[in-house]
Amino acid sequence: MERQEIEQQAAAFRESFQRVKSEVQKVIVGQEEIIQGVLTCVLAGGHALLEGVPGLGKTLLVRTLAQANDLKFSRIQFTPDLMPADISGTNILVETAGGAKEFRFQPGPVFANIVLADEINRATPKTQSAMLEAMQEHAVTVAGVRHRLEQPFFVLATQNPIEMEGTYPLPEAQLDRFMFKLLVQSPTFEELSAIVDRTTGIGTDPVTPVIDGKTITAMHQLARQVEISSDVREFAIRLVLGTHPDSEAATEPVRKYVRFGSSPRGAQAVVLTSKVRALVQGRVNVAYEDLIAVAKPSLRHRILLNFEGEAEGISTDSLIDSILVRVREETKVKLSV
Amino acid sequence: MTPEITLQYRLNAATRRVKLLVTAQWTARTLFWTMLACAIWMLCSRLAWTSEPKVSALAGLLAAAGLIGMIIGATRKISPMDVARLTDARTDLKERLSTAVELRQQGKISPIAQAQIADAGARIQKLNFRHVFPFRLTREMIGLLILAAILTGIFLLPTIPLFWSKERKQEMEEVKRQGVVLEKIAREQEKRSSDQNLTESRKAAQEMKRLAEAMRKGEVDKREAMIRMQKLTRKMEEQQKRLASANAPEKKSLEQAAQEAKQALEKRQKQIEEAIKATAAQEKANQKKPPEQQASQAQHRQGDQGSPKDQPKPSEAMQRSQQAMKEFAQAMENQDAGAQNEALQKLAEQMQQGQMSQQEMKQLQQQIKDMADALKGTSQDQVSRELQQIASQMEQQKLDPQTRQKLAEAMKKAGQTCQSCQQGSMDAKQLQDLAKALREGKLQLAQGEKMLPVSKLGQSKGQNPQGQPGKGYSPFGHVNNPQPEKRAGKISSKPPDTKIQGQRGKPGNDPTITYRGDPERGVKSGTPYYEVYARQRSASENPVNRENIPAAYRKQVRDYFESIKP
Repeated sequence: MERQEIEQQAAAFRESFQRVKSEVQKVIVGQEEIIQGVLTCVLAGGHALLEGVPGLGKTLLVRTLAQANDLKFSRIQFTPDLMPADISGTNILVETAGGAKEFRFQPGPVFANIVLADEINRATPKTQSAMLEAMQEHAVTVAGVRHRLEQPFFVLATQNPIEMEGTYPLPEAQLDRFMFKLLVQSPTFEELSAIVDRTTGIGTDPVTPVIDGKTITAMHQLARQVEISSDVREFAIRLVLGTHPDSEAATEPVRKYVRFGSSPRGAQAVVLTSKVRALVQGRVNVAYEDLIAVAKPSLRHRILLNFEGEAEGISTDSLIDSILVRVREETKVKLSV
Repeated sequence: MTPEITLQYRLNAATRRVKLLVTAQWTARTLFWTMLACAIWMLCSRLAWTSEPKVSALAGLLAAAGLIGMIIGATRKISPMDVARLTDARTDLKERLSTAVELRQQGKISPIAQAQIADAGARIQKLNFRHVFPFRLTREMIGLLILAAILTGIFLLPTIPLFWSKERKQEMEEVKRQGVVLEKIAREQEKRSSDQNLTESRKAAQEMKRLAEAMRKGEVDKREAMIRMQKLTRKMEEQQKRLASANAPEKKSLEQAAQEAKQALEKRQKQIEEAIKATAAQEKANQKKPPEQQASQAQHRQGDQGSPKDQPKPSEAMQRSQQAMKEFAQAMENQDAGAQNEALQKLAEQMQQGQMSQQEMKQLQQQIKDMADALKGTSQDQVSRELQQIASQMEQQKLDPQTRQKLAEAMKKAGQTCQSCQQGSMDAKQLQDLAKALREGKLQLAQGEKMLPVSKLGQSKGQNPQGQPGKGYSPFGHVNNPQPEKRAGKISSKPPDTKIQGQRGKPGNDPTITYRGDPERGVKSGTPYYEVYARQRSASENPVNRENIPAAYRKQVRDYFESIKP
């Protein structure tokens, strides 16, 4: 592969990203950061958890994204009575053409390219954990038979931070499987005005698929090739280590309010999503600003607050901010003229 | 040009620029700290805690510091990675350069690495490093400028009249006034010395003129003026002593010597005339004697005094020689070394021509000897010795043309010696006058505005207004302090002027002298200043000589006592 070819691929990557984003924005008003975050996550091959109050368009966003990507989409509405088999699928008894009876595997909704796990925290932990294997290994095992999921495979889950009664907060192990946790904010005045106009009129422009699964897989491969210098890599490592209260790199608030810091998956998520962002920004190298941009969505759900932190209502975003300040200072260029 | 070469080339350019700025930074840094030290030093010297540093020493220190800073800055190791990181930080390159440099260092040849390097190369080519790394005033540079202003201020403020105290303004006025007087004297002396071709005194006058000009322009303060005047006086005195020792000590004046010479010449003239008369009388008597006796007497006379024909009247050459001798004596009386020289030159010419008889030469030898005797012990002792030598040679040697030539040359040399002797003594005299003028000027400066004419100093006696010496009155008069309430027991470094009034000689004559100092209130001074000075100087010199006073302060102690010398 020649240099020019890579440059063309990088340009195509940026173009595809913009096209998908444009398609999504035909339906979704505002939420620029969320759209960008979800797309980044998808192109990095990760899963995203969207948290926000009902009615902010989380589900619509995911569905539109699936439409724009020309991918197989399925939606699972998580409820307390949802069973694991409802997600992964089950063996059912069917009669063959010869009249014989046999068990045949009936794939669940997880067998899709994009799976919307709506209100994931409403299902029981048992059901939630059924997603673990699918998310991590891109496969499910039913009745001792392992079924591989079609590639690409993304889980885009939503959860409601309020109405916590009767919900089952995701365990840390499952949270860690999500590359990004995105916080969906309420629309601004202008955005709301546009939403009203768009949803109360005759109709909106139909969303057309602009990329397919193959393209996404190629983009995923390209993103992994993006170069990262040792300085930038060191920044990412310091950032992740800074979330550990017993680390030397930890800031004072982290020491005080954090029980557990990010796992290595956090560092992987930061670097991988930074690479995607770099390509989207027209670069083939990762910059500090990429790491800073993805730091919060990558790490906020991987930092576990202690009792004091919970009691004082400390947000993990503020802790990440403090870590970023420190790491920036530590990695500042020494030479000054 | 490949992207890699472009990247390398541009990075080198950036490195050079950064190195230049780092060198400037280090230079400013070292200069800042050195200048701070210099400013502290200057401040300490202004507060009289340390001796005042020489400007050349300060300049040398700063130059050395600047050089050291430049060397440190220029030898600092700045890697391409450092420059790349800095450039990334300063521009919107988003770590493109540092990544590219790292990829190059690692030798990565993957397509994406190449694309990255190409991207970095294309970006860096558009950069103008003068804008990326502009010359900025760092904290040290700003501090340096402030310190430079402070240092200049420390240098200049005390010399700006606006910041002078009333006393100092008065002092400077005195210095300027004295400068005008001394400059006038120096100019006159310089002109006179040039006219008379007196080298040493001309030089001294020029030096004095320079000092006087500096004083007139207010470039030196009173203390410095006094010290410089003292040094110049001493130099002149030493020069004058050197010139004087080159000439013989003057036991009698030239006027006296001229009188003696004239008398000797007249005496010799009379002897010659008497001899001529006696010869004429003898010839008359001989005419009455028999011819044999006449012949024998004539023969005898020829062997003794020359031919009878020559004897009655001296030759023209002898007459000219006599005239030259008279002129020499007259020139001696007039102290005109040029005329003396001319007279001796004429005499030398007559001696060289050889038109004088043996008898005349003998007479001339005696006259030269008389002249030498007359000059002995005068300022022209050297001339005396040379004439004495000529006379003795004339007596001892046969006067053939060669000898006459030698004698004539010796005579000419004696004439020149005459001139140089007088010039030396005049030079010494002029130097003495200049030194005297300087001493008087220094004394007047030391005494302040209202002062006695120098010639009257030391003639006064401590008297009260009623003309009686008594309680509370020094030999110079009674103490009148204009600000008695401000008096302190301890003499400050810059005490106010204290007026000491007194009556000198007849009432109404110069009643006041202003001295620097602060005599304690209520203390009745009974000792003249010059006695106190002598005693204190002696007391201070002993420790200096015994090396009790640190070497660094010896000169100050000496200068101080020189400056207050009455």
